[in-house]
Amino acid sequence: MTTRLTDPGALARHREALVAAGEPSRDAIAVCGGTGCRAQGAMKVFEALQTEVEARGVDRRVNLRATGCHGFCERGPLLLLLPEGVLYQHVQVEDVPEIVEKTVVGGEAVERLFYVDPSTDLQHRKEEKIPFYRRQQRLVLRDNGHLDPTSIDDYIALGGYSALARALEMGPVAVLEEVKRAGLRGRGGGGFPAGVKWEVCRNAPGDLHYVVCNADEGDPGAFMDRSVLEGNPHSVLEGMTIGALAIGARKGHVYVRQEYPLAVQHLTHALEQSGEFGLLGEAILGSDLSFDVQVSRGGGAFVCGEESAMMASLEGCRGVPRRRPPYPAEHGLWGRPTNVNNVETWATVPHIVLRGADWFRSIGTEGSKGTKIFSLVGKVNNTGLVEVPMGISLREIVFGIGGGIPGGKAFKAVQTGGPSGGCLPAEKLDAPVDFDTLLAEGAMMGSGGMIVMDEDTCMVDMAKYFLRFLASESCGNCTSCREGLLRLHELLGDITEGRGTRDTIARVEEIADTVRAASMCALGTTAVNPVLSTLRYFRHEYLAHVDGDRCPAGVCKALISFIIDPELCNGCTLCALRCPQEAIAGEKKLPHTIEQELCIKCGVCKDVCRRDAVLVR
Amino acid sequence: MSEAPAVDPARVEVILAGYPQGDAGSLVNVLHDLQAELRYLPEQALRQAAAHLGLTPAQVFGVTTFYEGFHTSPRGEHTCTVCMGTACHVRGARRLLEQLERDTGVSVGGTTSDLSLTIEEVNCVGACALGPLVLIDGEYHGHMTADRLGRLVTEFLEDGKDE
Amino acid sequence: MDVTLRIDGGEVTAPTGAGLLDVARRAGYRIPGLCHHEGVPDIAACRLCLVEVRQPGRGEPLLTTSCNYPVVADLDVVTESPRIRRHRIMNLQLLLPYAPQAPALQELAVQLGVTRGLFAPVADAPLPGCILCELCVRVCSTVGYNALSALGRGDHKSVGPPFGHAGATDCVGCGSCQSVCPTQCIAMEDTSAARTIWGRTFDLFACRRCGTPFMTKAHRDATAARGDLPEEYYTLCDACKRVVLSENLLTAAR
Repeated sequence: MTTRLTDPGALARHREALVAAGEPSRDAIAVCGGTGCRAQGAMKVFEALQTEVEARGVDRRVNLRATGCHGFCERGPLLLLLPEGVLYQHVQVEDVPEIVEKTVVGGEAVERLFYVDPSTDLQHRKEEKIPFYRRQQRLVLRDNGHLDPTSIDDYIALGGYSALARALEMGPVAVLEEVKRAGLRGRGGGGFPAGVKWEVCRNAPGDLHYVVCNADEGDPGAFMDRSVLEGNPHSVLEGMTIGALAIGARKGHVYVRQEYPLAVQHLTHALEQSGEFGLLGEAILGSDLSFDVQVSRGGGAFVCGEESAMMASLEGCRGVPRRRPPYPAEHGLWGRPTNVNNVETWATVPHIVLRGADWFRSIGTEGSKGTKIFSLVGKVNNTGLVEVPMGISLREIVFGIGGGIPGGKAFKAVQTGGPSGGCLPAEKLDAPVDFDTLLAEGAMMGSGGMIVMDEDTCMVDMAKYFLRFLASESCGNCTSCREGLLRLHELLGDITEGRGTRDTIARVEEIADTVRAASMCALGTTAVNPVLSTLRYFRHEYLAHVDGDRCPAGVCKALISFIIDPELCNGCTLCALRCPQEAIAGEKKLPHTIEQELCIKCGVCKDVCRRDAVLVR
Repeated sequence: MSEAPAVDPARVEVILAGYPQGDAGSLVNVLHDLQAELRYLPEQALRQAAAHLGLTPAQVFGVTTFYEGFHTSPRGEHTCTVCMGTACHVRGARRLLEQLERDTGVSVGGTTSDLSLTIEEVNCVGACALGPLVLIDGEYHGHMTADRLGRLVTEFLEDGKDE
Repeated sequence: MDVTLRIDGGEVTAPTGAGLLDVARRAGYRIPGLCHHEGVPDIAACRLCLVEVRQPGRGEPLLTTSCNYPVVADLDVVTESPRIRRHRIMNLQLLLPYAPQAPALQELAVQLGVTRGLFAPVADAPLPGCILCELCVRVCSTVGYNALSALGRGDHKSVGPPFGHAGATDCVGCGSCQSVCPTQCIAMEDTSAARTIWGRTFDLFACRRCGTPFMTKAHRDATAARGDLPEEYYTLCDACKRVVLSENLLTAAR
């Protein structure tokens, strides 16, 4: 039943009623429904739970809900028992009967589903004790594992929209001052002070101002925004509404990457609900504020994460960036003053309004306040989403929270900032994560993608990967970017295929200089960060390729060979059977050999060998 | 090569009717809706969209071809997508893509001649813990290996022949 | 409103907001710029028109394209420096593989002292000679037909009519695109009766005074349909237009 909330008092009463009824903390099983867990069968687990709970007649005893991404993706599917906060990991459909029998009916835990810390062999029952979670400071992600993103009541019961009520009380100027004082810097990569941008936009002349949420999260390996949109869409809408109040905007847009259909779905549903409750639309909570939001999808272009290209796309055009100045705050969407902020930035706003700028400033470093969500992925044990205070070291994130490198391999580098960022080596692990420090070290905070690489990663290959990505994502306007990146990719190809010389490296640096200096937008100017940062910190690897015709990490095909160790091979013939080129010869039970002339280095033999007898040289 | 079937203009008009005439700004949303209905964006549908939105076919086609998500040629019955995000790349996604191209005889972005399978790459689907990841008709297959992929594709191609 | 700015130390006056490249060229400064045309909006694609703008209080001057830079009072501009030269030369090098024989690029190479290409010529471009300056697209838009567009993006960008085949365009064969193309890469063939361009053949319309074919029928019909141009515009060739116009002026003077 929808209740249109006609004033902040009505909101408070509605919340009280929900809390009195035990929402949402009454006995609940929260199944993580984030994309990562879904991909591992979480929704099947959820459905199985629903069926089993009904079959056992205990559906009144427990509230089952599917939540947004809970962050510990490596251990999915995840299940959180509320209100206690007990975490079950790697939950399969087969576990469901036991869970219902033991936990729901019997009130006991299924201990074999607890997380066991591999470094201590300690079993952890409660989520808050697990090192992965314990060392985080979850602000924006706090409610992700607790609320049903399709339920506005869950959001309200947990305190949602009380920030908006407070903001309406404070008035636009006070809200803007608070956000300015908090020192909130944009979480999309630019790191520009949000409050300052808001103020410029507010003061720009015009009869219609826009606020926009940039949800075109294009950095490969980054899924922070996705998880916030899928898991807690109301937090973003609340933030945008507060922003609209402060800026004097009446219309808002959320531009979502088309690869995120679930986010679009949850956001659209949340919009409808907010409208029904009087939290969006005309006379919000009975005030003077009227604010409407529209959801638009991107068409599939990384460059549309750049704000001026995004606005071009919103206007129905090719996503080609525009010259700045003029800046969107003064001349943006349809030529009107527009404030663009990232998903995470908007979701942080309600926290600042509710708890104040002083509280926010108590977290983080001098130049970077608050917390930041990172997607910790790649060669790391605890892959997932983490939210940490600014100033924490890379080491603490990768090893303390991330649990270090799998397979006992050596850490090599961590890439931050996506294709616009850089790779930092082991020597930089103690660097504090903060906007300015990362920039000084040749990397960048970026939107939060943090990709861990180990000794088996070739840094030259990584530079080539990013160049290929950017060459195809470039809008193609500027010669320096469009052609520069193509030529750079070719030259990196020369290096990885054994044709490179010292001159190749010199030429790479020369072209990179022009790409950076002469391109119009941030895609072009930052496109050379991966190659330049790897040249800065891993020059020895480039030199091994060009001087020694060697790929130390064993990745670049032209410079490696697959060979079978005759001492380990037991002649099972599996590799020979699977080899697509029929390049493996050998009699049964006798060591096999790979015909190097025929070998295409596809790696299938290494994959199937049960004795680890295939070596890469 | 099978001929793409002609599109019923009425189906297109129904979708266009959901957007105000002359509202050029809604082009990207219009393209999404048309593609969801028709599975790709044939010339005729784009011409109708241009007329409705007050644009020329060149303008509409220019916008359509800019974005990766829009397809102007018919797609396969099934789609096999390799995630090429950085985390998956670090875990060997490139080799999987090359394997796929070899097994199907089609370059990434293309479709087999019998229109049974389209192979694609995508930059990060946000399930990095499962990398390297391959999506088959939207279903996630994580921790993919070259060997398993080869067998999965063989199944698909054989299914296609049976149909 | 006019403003005063400095270019290479010399004072120049110009209307506020005018494009810096135009202002500099009119004042006699030579700055290359292949994708610029005074009649159409700038997209700053070629990146050759780079200049430096001194910014008080900041160390390094801003390196920027000048075609799309609106002039303001007290702007302090430098048109030549080692930094400008270095990047201008690299951008030229990046364009050369597509049109190594184009006179405009050859001329620029001579001016900049470039004697050897850094990169191998590109053999398989979809439109040989095209440097993706999009002048054809912008001009076609300005004259009102919007028959061309940029297609794709990045490493697969091109320009041309839609749908990849000849019968699909709003092109009227006016030839404006061909006349502005800096590398002359748009093929346009005229016979006495017909013009072929962008894969389509158009009937040519003959001048009513001297009988020379000068305009396609499609262009003529579209122009007549506009209703706001005098008949001479689309019934007389340029030479005859001038003769008739001067005759009319003499008649009026008498």
